Amino acid sequence: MDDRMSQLPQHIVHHIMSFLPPPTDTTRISVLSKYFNSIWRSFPILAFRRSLLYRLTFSEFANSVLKSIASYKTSAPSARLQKFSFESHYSCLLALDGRVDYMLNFALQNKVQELKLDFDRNYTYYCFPEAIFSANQIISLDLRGLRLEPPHITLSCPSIENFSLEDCHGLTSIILRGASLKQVKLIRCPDLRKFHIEGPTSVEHVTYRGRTKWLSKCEMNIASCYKSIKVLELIDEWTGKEWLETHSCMLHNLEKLIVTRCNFRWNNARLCLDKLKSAVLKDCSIEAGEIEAPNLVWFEYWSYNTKVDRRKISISSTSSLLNVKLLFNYDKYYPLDYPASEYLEKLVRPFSNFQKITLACTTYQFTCWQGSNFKEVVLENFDDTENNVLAEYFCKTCKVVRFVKNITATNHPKKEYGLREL
Amino acid sequence: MASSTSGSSSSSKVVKIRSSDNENFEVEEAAAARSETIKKLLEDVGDDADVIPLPNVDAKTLVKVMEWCKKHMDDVDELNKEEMKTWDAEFVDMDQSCLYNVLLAANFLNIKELLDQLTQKVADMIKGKSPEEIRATFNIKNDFTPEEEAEIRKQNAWAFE
Repeated sequence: MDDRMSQLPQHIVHHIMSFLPPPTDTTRISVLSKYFNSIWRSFPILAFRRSLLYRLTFSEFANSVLKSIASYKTSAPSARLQKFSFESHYSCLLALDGRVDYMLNFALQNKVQELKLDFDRNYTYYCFPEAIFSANQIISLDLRGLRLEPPHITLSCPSIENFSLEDCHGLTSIILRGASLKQVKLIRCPDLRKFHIEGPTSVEHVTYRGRTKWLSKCEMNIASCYKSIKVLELIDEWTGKEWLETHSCMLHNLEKLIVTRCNFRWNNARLCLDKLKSAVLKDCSIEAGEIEAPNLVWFEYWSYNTKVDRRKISISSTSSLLNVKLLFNYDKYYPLDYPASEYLEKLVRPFSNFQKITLACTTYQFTCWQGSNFKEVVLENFDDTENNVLAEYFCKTCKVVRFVKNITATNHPKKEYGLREL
Repeated sequence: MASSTSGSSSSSKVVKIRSSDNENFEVEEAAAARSETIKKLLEDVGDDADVIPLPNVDAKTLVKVMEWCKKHMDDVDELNKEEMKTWDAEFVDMDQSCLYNVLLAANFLNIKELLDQLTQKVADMIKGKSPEEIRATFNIKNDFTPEEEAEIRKQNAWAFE
């Protein structure tokens, strides 16, 4: 067999390397042969993550990054940097000594397109230079665990597409501008009181996560992207309900809506969304709600509240493809106020006209069940005896009953949030 | 291209392409246009084009690439995504010499999504392997002296443990 790999053009090998987990796998390329060593030296993605190398102190880690930068400078003096990423958790107090500034300056001078900086989110010491918020060539900016000063920032990078801010302190107001902006993420920035996206923009995906325990309201104005927005995710947001009620009818192109722990009483909330295909409501206490979405094909409802359920949700959809997934916590240590069968029936009743339903729970003791007209039922994470009982029941009324095991931890309500107190 | 309404309806319009070994193929325009290179050529020559020559791609490889283009002609909706993923995984599962040919063709024809899938496949073949295993997998000749290799390993010793 020929060595065709060594005949591939450099940019294809770089492309392959961009799919390898940095820095270990990419660095192994350096010893394969002289050809691959030279390709590795000019690899325009410089990604460093300290958690993988935690035997090093922050200082040693920063020095090894500086060494890599020096080596890149000599091998690819004129190339533009595709990506620079620096992630360092645990005691990064030394970030104050100017070495991180040096790295950022290097990245900017080499016209970096994607920049990621991730520090320990509990100690936000590093002050990020403001100049980056207007850098010309940046396409993606992803910042975590930083202190942002001054408190008012306007993002105006002309080519930026992705912007993500997580656990950043100090910042109280942010205005985002950019005609190419596609994705915006603002997560747990505790001091943030104002968040505007100003046009012209074509933002498609907005994620906003507040911080309920601070009881703080954040003024959110994304009117400039009402027409373009396709995915909206609201988490821990006190103003979420009001916001949705007032603005949802303007979101003409919204395809996916995810609302998590908006701890309000969603009384008589009404959503009318023509293009909506997928709606996910997690842990929101809804008493009555109406969703009018003719094209809805996926509805997911996560319920952790085992108190008497008076919920009345109605969904109007003309789509015959509607799938419903209900996740609930029912545990012998946290018994229901009333029989399980009643609980399940109430949970499922609003959806009984739909084609397919998935029921998923953490630990569930099945007693009896009064059901409906589903054509297909998927049972997730029930144990074998429960499966048998459920299957026997559903086989009488459904054509298909499927069982799914090994739901990953991230989909698992119990793992993710813990059991909620009654 | 604005005046291309004459002749057959645009939905099933067919274009002719020729491989490096002089075999002609007829492909639906929507499929062929997945290739930015062909799309650009079509725009340049307009309706006068007889056959579009692709001097860098042989017939066997072209068949493979067009198979992918046909499958990816239309936008995939949410429900078919899983099915498409399975199809794609089976598609990239080919022997190495074929993989290189299709990879170079995807690069020349500028089909970004296919190029991503193929480079990802090669990356998966490298992932988690030691340098010796990578050399064996791709038959790469080590032209370092033992001293040179030891020196490079020493610089980033953590990557080789």
